[in-house]
Amino acid sequence: MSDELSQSPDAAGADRSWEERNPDIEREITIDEFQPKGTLTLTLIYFAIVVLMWIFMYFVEFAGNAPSIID
Amino acid sequence: MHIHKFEQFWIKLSYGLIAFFIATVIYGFVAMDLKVIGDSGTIDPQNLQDTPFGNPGVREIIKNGETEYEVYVQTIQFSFVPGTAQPIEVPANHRVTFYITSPDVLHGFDVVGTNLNTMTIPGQISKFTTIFPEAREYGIVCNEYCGPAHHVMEGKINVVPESEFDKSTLVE
Repeated sequence: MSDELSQSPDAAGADRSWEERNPDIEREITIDEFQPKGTLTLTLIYFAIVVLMWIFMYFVEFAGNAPSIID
Repeated sequence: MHIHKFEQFWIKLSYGLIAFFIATVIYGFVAMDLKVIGDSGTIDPQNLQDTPFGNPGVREIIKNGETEYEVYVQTIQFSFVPGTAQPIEVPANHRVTFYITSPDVLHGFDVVGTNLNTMTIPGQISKFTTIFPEAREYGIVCNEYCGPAHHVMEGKINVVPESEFDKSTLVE
């Protein structure tokens, strides 16, 4: 990060715009325009792994481990 | 507070995951009839000799016109009585009810590779019923740390075909 970017807004002068203070950043977007699709994909993959591991552990390793307690 | 829609999505997903876990457990206990050890009564661990645990072993009983078996086991540092010195012998395809207690310290009674697994607690009777579907040998291990020789505390359950079951080993 350049010296200019690492400066606090106060030090850079409050009268300058955000773009002037951060010339390397081309466009500012709102939070809803930010679309972290990679993070979403990773989250879904982790979610699928947890669900599959749970199904395996519960239904195969636990419930399928006969003989079981019947009473 | 504004929350990004992706975050809203995976927060909902997380709640859904918790609901899914709880639903599978409820399904197991309601639809699949899974059971775990419950409260089965108390006993004076100092005076087991006056109870069926004083003469531990396999007993034959008739219940609802069917032959069933009861197995009384003491877990002591560092063996199962019976189980370690001589295997517990029961026939296949009969209801077998285990009653297990401990006169000394906390032990475990885990039939290896099965869902049969209970703590054995001084002053408590652990009771569970099962049916062994096939004739084979099962190992028993203590799975609660019970002292310096805990790691060698093990035993055997010999499940034999009904035709080979030797009733002379039963206790009165």
